[in-house]
Amino acid sequence: MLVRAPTRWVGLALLSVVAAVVAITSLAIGALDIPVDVVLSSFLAFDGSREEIIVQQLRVPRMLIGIAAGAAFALAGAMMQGLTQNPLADPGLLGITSGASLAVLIALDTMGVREFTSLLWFAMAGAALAGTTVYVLGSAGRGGASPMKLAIAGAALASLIGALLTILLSMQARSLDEIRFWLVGSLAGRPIEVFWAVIPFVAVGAVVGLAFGRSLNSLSMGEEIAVSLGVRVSLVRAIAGATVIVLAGAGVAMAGPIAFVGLAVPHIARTLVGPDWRWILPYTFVIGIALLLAADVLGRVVIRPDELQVGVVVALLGAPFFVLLVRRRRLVAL
Amino acid sequence: MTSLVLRLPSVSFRVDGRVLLLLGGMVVALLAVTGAALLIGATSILTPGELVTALFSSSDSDAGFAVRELRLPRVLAGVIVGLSLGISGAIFQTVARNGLVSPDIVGVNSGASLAALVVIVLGTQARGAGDAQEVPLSLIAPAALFGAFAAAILVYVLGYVKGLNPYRLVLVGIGVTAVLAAGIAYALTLTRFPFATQLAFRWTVGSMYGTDWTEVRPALIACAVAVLVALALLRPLGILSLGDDTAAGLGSRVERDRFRLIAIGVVLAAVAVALAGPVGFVAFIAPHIARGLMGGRGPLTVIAAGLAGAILTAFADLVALRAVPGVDIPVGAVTALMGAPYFLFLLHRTNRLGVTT
Amino acid sequence: MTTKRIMFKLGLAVVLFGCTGTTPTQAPATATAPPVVTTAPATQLPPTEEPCREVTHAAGDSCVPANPQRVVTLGCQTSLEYALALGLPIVGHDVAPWPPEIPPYVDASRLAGSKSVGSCFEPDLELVKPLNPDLIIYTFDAGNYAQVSAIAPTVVLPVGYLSYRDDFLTAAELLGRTDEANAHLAALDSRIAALKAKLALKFAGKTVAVFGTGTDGRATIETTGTYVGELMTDLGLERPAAQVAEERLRISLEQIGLLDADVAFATFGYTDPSTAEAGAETKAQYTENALWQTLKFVQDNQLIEMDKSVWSLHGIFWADGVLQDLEAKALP
Repeated sequence: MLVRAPTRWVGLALLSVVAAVVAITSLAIGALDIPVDVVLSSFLAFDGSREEIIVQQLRVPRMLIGIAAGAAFALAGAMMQGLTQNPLADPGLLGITSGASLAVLIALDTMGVREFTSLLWFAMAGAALAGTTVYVLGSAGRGGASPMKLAIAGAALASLIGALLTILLSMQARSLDEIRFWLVGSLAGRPIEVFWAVIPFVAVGAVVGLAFGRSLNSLSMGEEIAVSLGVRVSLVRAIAGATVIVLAGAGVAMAGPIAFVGLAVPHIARTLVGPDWRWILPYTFVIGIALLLAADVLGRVVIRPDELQVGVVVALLGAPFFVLLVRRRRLVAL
Repeated sequence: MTSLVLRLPSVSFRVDGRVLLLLGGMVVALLAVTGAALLIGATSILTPGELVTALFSSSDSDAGFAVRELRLPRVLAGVIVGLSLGISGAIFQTVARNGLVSPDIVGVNSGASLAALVVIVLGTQARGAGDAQEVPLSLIAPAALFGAFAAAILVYVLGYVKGLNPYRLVLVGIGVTAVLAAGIAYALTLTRFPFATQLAFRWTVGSMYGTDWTEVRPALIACAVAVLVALALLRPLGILSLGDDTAAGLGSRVERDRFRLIAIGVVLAAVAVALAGPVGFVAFIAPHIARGLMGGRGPLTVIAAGLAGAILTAFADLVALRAVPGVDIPVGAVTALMGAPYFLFLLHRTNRLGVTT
Repeated sequence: MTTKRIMFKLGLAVVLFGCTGTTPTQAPATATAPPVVTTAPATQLPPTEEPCREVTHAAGDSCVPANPQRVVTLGCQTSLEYALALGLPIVGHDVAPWPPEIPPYVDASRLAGSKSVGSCFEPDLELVKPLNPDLIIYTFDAGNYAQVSAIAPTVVLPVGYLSYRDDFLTAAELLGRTDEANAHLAALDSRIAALKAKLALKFAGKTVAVFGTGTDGRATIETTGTYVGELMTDLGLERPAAQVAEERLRISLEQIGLLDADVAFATFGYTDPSTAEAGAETKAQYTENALWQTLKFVQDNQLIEMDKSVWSLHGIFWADGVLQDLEAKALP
């Protein structure tokens, strides 16, 4: 574990370099073989050849969206884990991703919404609705929103939304054939406009999120201590909750439901830097980007010329690592 | 109130009249739901008398065919699935001492789905006209059974670190399920024509479309055997529910008993998924209903959970089949739709009382 | 038990005619081999009963009546088209789960005496039984063969989706209607030849790309190894080298170069025409991309958009549907 602050800075810098290398690699690797010098010249001296267009119009947006989505999902997960004191919190697990997906599907399928910016708002609304429902249900009664209650409420809501989705799909068999591709998170085929539409939300979410380290630290000492330290717990929870919703909604709108980044990345960060949220959050941010991009690159390589969707690769990569982590760590009961 | 004492080789307990009344009531409810499922359908069978005729005459009438070949196996499938899942859920929740848990945490559902989808994808590959399909679709159910066991064994093995910590089991289960779910989502994009997509979709949600005697008969036998074994394990289950230390103090071999209970829970859940696919929420909710009705955690709660699961599933399938004319909604969607609100209500109530189960 | 029940349901037809040596239930995995056709001895028939032939098909063995009078087709339009083309009298059929329920190129008047038995993904067998069929033709066993075959002898067609001719002829052979099939194909061939001559005037020496686009930003190339591809070959159209393959090819946008050709026949959007707007969206994903402009057929304005609700189906009247659409769109 990296304990001293200078080591932590170095670690963060190294991880950023890794993320950058992965990002650049993602420009050079794909279903089509494109030599590195063509990749370079597409930036320096664009000549409009098909290969250069592929780099500029497909791979660059895909990389940017991967960066935004990786950061969004990972930070959303970390915020939720810190907020709910629940190591299992994840936008997927607490039903927020499902809410966003359902909203997007309803907008696409039954309301005929086509504009990406409108879909983005639907995704956020869905995430907000699901998040609020979980929070309200989970905080009913004495003791407020305890981690346990939130987790239970989230699991129940995720299942309920899954059922609604299923019924929607089975009532319209016609859509199933097309919509099944929406059930897997992917970075492919999104135009650059998607990135520009989403990036303000991700940026705001990331800035607010990264600034929350101290508050999350106080919260982790328990609500009463946090209050005695002068933390306005409800306010912190409300802002952090809103941030989670913005991040997760933006992530789903960009890349579809990508599970597991939000769950696994904060755990990886925590193994590296320990329980200090001021460090966990930036590490999560960088690792999330690197992991999602690496997964996307891998997905393009393994079954060439076909591609494995990034949502699949992330789970295949992240889950075994997560299992190892769970086996190694001493466990605190829920 | 009268009370009687049941003495079985492995277990003996007092049963008071109220409990018997409740169990009896559940059986009546189950009969009512299954009776309704046998009566409703495109072929009109109006009276119970006609139903009995259709059931027991061997005539080749439309009603006889509808009841004997179509409705009865499907109704029985619902009962088998619900009973197995209810008992399995009760066992899992007791072993884990956590009302959140269901057999799916050990990956049974996702394992079954993925294995079934692999068969469907391989079995519907393009081929020359008349060429043999290398992977026949008749392998779907055996594959699902295999997938359920494989996933459960994997989760158990990975979750076992110097003994079994239920919390770690849940975490490992989440990890393994995530991998399986990714595989399922990917496999779903690989199907080549709408029939195959539809069939694959049914195996991701749980559906009883087309369930026939060839599937129900072996499941019935497996279910009966597994339920008997589960009943024989009620005593160790009761002891384990007191906590590891207490159980060990009472002379229980904790790890061995826990393994046996989890194993039989997995077998029960696997029987259900092999028959109908991953029917969600029944294993989750049935034990809660049973505890709510029985007002405690006695061994008979397990039986009540089985009955509650059977009623829930049979009713859900009736709704799935008949609610929207012409559309056979996957029963798993209906059970989740019925189960989730109840679960949220339950959660709200326990929260209000300040108790987390 | 099931064996007995099915034997019973197959009617005394099977038992009395000397087919008792076989077990008409689920066949083992390997039983989907090319159809084995044996004619049952017809000498001892009671005059009222139809003779039948024992056949091995994709899901087992059945005794197919030589002259079925009441046929039900299950498994969407493929079996329906085959039955109609082979001149079998249809009393029931299932329909597509989305509109149009019956493909536009199928003469609806021929279905006047036939009842719908529900969506072809989940046909309601309670509607099939009262039709009292003597033969059921099933395209794809959705897991309920045992129940279907308990109603009447059922043939599950070993449709391979690679060759429209082979699939049709195999089905015809199983149903004992090879002559009718050959006659239908001969008539079709003359229509193909007529269109081939017209197409040659316009497309001689040009390569033709045939593809569709889907939701996930991918395109599906109808290579020479698909129904559409085979028909294009029959029409004498030359395909680019990348599109000569044994199976349908799914590519991502990065491989858009594989689509390149002098001319393109493309279908955009979804199989369901009611989602036209969504279809336009998937079309835009391609056509509004700078990469699109690098394709020769785009530069030469040689993109011809086809009717997906026809081209994406599988059948035998389907071929005529494609011919008509092609003639209307490519030779205005």
